Amino acid sequence: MSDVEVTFARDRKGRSLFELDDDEEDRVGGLHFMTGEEDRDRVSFRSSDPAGELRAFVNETDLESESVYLLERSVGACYEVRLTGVYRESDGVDADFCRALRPADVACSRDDEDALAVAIRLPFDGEDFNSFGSRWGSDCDRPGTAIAREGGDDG
Amino acid sequence: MTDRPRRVRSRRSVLAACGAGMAALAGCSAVGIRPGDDEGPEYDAGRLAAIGREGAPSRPDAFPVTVTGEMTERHSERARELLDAVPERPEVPNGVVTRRLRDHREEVAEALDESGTEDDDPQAGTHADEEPGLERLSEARHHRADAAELLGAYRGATSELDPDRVAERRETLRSDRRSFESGRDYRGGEPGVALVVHAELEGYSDRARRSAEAWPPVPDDPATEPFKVGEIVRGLEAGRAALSDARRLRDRYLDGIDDPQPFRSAITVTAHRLDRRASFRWRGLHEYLDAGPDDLPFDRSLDGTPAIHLFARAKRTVDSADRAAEEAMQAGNQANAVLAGARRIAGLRALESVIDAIEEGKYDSPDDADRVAAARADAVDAIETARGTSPVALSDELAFPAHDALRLGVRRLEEARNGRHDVNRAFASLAYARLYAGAVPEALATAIRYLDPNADAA
Repeated sequence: MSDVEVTFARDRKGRSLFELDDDEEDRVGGLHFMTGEEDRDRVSFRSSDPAGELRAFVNETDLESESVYLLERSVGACYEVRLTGVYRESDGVDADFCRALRPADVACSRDDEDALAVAIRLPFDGEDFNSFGSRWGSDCDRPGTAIAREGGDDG
Repeated sequence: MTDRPRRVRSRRSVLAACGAGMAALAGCSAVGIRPGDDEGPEYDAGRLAAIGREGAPSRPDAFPVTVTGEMTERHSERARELLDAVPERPEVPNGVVTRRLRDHREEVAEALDESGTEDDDPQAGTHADEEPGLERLSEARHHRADAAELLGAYRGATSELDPDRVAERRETLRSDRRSFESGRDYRGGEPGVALVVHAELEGYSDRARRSAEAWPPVPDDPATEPFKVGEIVRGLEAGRAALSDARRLRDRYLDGIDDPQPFRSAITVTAHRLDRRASFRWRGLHEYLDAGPDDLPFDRSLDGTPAIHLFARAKRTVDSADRAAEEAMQAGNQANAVLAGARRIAGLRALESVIDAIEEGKYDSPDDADRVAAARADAVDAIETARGTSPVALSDELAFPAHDALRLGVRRLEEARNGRHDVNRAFASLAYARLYAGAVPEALATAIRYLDPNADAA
């Protein structure tokens, strides 16, 4: 799919950017698919600038006709994540990502882990979908394949 | 007219009988017969490994031009210059980039120190003398390229690298290479020797051509992809080093010849004549070369025998020489096209010998380890005989596939773990080494006859 909108958000302290109402503890990681208001209400965003951008992106989505694929995971502070593909399957959505080194002049420690969230706005409601996944490549070695990448540096 | 009028298929039904279930010698560790392998000989694994350990004689340094210490030292000096331009503990804001740069710097420094120690140590110096000159030269270029990659990555990471400067250096290399090519008419003394020297030079020139290409471009902001920048700078440095070696080797070669003659036309004509000759022979063997693995035109099943591996190896060698010749022709590397063409001729002749032997019922599993030892000894003798054909520089180049098969054969014996299957494959490699080596003198004579107009006229 190419007609998708994407936003990335990064927490440099490694704290989760959002949590679901049934999360028992504050931990980084998770995949949530939103097809209606009920799904949106289950998500609480942290009060920080990057989480605020993520919340705004979700709130601007018309969940009557669109849906949101929301994913979070830990990523090394010196790496950035790129989205290389979004695939609509018969019963769900898959997304492919790869990891690339951030520019040499970006200050980061090789031991630090950030929390990274990505929200993908999809042009369909996906109400009947029940299968969601992500694949991760360790190296973005094929130039020009990314359909979206982290633009800014976060908060 | 049939495709192969010279071949009359033999129908020998008497195959080499295998002594079923030969007992392993007491006290020796025998290779186990795998489940299902209930027929065929059993082998003493210790004896086979001992045969393997006898190894393959090392290739003599047959290249006609001596590589001097000064030639390798020139690369080492340049490598040190490049290394010294990077701080001992490079540091950039990105911690992962910093770590990679530091690790790489340590590796380059260690490799250079080690190569320097080898040069200084009398014992190591002896060893270095045994290593063929072209390999020492290639190693020195490799260290130089490594150091350039490090410096390129460092300058990229610190935004000190100017992409326009890289583009200029590429253009300079293109121009230097054009000048090298335009002044080269494949001059030399003895035609077979000139052929080998110029084939080597073609390889270096090709390396320089690839390095000088404008692709991939340097990123506009080198700090975003410093290691990609490093690879680009490495390629450029490797191309410059290769071109400078090509010049020096050519000059050294010509310095030793009284009245060098141009061989460009003779080499080009020879490449085409060998191509025609090989294609003719290929057509005569097409039913074997075109056959799939399940469709071999033999009257007996080769399953579970060395013969099937022997045939596969012979076919692969022909296929590989076919490709090499085609690529060399397309690239305009006529000296390499001649070498590949001569290897095609030798490979096709060896394939004929393989087919004849298989049709005569040969190359079932060897009866015992003594038979394997004899196969190794025969291969060594055949390769020595092939390499004894003058000019040695050329016979050594043409005999390479035999040497390769011998090395593979002895390694398989050393590592044999899987019973009869491993022994069959090793035996096939050794047999192929002998058969291919036996085909070298004829291929060499054909190439020399085409190369030397006087010999051709006679």
